Amino acid sequence: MLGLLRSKYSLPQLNKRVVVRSQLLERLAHSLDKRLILISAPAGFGKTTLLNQWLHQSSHPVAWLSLDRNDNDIQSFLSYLISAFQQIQPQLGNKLLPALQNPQINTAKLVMQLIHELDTICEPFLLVLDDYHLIEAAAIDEIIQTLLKHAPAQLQIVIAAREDPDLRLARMRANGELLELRAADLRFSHQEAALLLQEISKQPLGPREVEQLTERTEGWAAGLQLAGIALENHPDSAAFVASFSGSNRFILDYLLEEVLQHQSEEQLQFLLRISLVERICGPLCEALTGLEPSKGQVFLEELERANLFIIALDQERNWYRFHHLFAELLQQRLTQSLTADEIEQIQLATSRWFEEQGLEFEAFQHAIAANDIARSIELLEGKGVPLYFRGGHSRALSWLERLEPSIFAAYPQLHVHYASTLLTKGDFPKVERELEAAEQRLPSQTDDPQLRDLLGHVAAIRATVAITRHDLASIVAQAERALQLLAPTNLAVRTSTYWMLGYAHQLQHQRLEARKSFQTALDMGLAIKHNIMSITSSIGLGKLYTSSLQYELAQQHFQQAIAIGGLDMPIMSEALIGLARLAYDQNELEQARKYALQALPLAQQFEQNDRVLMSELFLAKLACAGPDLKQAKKQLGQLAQRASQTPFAELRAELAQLQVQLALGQGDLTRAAQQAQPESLSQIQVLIAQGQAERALKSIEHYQASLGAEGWELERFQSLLLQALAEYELAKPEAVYYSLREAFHLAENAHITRYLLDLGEPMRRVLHSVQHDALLGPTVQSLLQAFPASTIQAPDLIEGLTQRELSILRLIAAGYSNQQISQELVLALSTVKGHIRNLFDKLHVQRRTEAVARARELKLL
Amino acid sequence: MEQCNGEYSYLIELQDHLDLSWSSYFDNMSLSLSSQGTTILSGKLRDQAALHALLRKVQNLGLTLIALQRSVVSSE
Repeated sequence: MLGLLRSKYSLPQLNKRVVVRSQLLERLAHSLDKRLILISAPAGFGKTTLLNQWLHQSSHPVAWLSLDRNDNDIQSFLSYLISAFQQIQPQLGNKLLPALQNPQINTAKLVMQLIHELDTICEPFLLVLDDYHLIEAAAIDEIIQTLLKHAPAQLQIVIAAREDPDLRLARMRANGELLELRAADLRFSHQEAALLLQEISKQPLGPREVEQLTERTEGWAAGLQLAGIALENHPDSAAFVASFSGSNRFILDYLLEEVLQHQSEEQLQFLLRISLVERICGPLCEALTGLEPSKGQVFLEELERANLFIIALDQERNWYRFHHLFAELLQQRLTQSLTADEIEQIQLATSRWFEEQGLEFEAFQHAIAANDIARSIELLEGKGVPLYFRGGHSRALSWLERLEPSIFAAYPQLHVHYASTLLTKGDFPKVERELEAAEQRLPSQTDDPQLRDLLGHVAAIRATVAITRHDLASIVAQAERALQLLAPTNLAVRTSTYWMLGYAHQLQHQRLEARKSFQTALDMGLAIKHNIMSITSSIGLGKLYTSSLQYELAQQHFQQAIAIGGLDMPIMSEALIGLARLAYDQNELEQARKYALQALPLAQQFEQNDRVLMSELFLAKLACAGPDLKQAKKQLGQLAQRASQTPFAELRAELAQLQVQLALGQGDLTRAAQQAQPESLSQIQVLIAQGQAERALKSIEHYQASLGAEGWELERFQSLLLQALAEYELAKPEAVYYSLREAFHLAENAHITRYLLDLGEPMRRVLHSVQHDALLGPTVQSLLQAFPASTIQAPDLIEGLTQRELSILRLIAAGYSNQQISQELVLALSTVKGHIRNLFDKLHVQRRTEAVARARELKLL
Repeated sequence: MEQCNGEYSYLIELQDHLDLSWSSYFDNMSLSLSSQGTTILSGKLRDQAALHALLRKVQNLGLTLIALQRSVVSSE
């Protein structure tokens, strides 16, 4: 991720010359039983320094996080939080990081997973959140609350803030789970003040003077430190203390003036000029002050030695920051000594420097501070891919949210960017308002390529909104308009537009069009490294190639998706289920199970549960193929309950199909008929099992006519298999032969065997009838071997039973009279009697009871 | 409750005497120094959001807030 600054999650360097605050350190060291340590006091009370001292002494591993305003974005916060924990255990949470790039992610679940991983840290450890007052997002308080409640006992959380955080402190206080250090605790005692003043000023001070200074500053660390620096340069310390103590002026005003008086004019200017940046390094210092190369670093180190409230952020002393309080003071003086224009020039130089370093977030932030709208927009738009598509979403949004209407009027493209950033917030009415505002300010017909591109972006955003409404016609219309208008170079928006088009076509069953769109989206996505688009398009193609029985291509695309994104991204659950399906169809059940089990935990990271249901459904499908059908039935029943509210038709259809398959396998025709969805292949299969082969053939004809010419090979293949079954029942061996031949031809490149196996005994009989055919024989014989041994007919059964005879046999077993059988199957009584005679002959029995017993013996029932 | 038609005038009392140069930092509120060693910021603020932003600045400087008072701006 761009701009993930290491210094945010590394413990700041310890200034060796600070006063060791033994009493406070002792309290901290003796509070390991407290869940939360809260250091709550105004600016300048030495909160960070105290923590720093404690943590450098402590032997416990520490995850440190210095917060800033940008951390109010929950995804950014969680990324940093995980990075902080990785300072303790490098691999921790690695699997969760990819999920954070997905806006549909369920953060509550993710936090629970993180907590689960924290369990693997065996020793007591600390999480320190410094400057927590900068967090305003309630969602982040919620995360901390969850950590406090559920994290393993060895975790202790430490929060430093200028105000009390919203964390149900009263309850923790009552339960004795909280240690608080507040302003009164942090105030320097006379003894501590004496040590501090001595250390900094190098001046001997009498107890009276120390007392006066402590009284005057009320033990405030920032005041004492500044007083120390002022004393260092003051010839007469007694006079200084007297005059300071007698003054009513704000301590920092008074002392800063004292201190700055002793700086050279040049040094003072440098100091002011670098006060505006959050973090500074030597080269940036040079860019802002005009110092010669490598002199910037020297200057910063001098400031550090002079105790001028500058903190080294890394061990190499590359990056520094001012104490926030001091920066605030310097900035105020800066506004006194420079004009607004000059200050904006400094901001601009800072922005340029960051841009040259490739740190675009910082460049953007300082362009905003420079009030340079054109430059801010340029940085927002990025080179090809806007900043808000690359992790800068919350920064972009917070800028756009506070821009004056007059600026939107001058730069209408801002409406479009605003609409685009609002999409992820799900505020669609507001998105539409922005789009309309953009359109009002843009001409509807234009040849200007830039304006056309903007109008194209407007249409693309509308297509995205249409996706959330499931409005397929509108997706296609807007996406096509977008593609007409967008600049050929606007690959970022073009890629996602092609993907949307593919998505809509797929849902409209226009599979060839879908394939083309996904292919284009994939090619572009790969070219501009738009990973999410490449991955989703690849998965889309994988599914389409599955339907067209091009299994090798399908497999390649699912695997490509995994290769691009890695196996930790939640979206990979779809690729894995795709692979599982391919393996299943080829009767590689163990492999299929492995994929499905891998998919499940990834699917669970999504807010919506459709992918979870899909994975579980697949596992149930595997159970149906196994020996324990009772278990399979139970699994399916539970799934059916949970899936009853799901809006995903595809999922319900597949569930119904499995239930029918299972019911047929158990010989329960009534249940099978109840479960089959109208106009589905399952329903046709039930018809055949009911002995209604003629009707089945009519339905098949109807079904096949509804299929597209290309892209529907899988459905055609399945229907041809059922056709062969029906034709077999009607004793049409030639027709059976042609149907099978066509089916095998379609599946030439797919090695599908599982579909035939799942059709069970009836399919085995059909295959049996053509096993000696010159053309089909070899394929059929190897297929027959794949059928489980138990259903292979007993050798002493001279002729196989027809489906009709089997149905009758089942009804006999269920206790039906001949009359009832004829009613149930809508056959003449005489016909039923004829079938029963044949049945008895084939089974070598005389009576109904014998027939049932014999059938059980042969496992026909 | 916030009134949508009227602005309010605020008096904010801080401990110690601030330099008059801080006025622009505090949204150009006028600064006066009391004989009790406190500073009084006074002036109009647009709404509660503006008030909280200003209090945040007080917090940023580690200033001690002593009193806060609001009064309706008399219509002129």
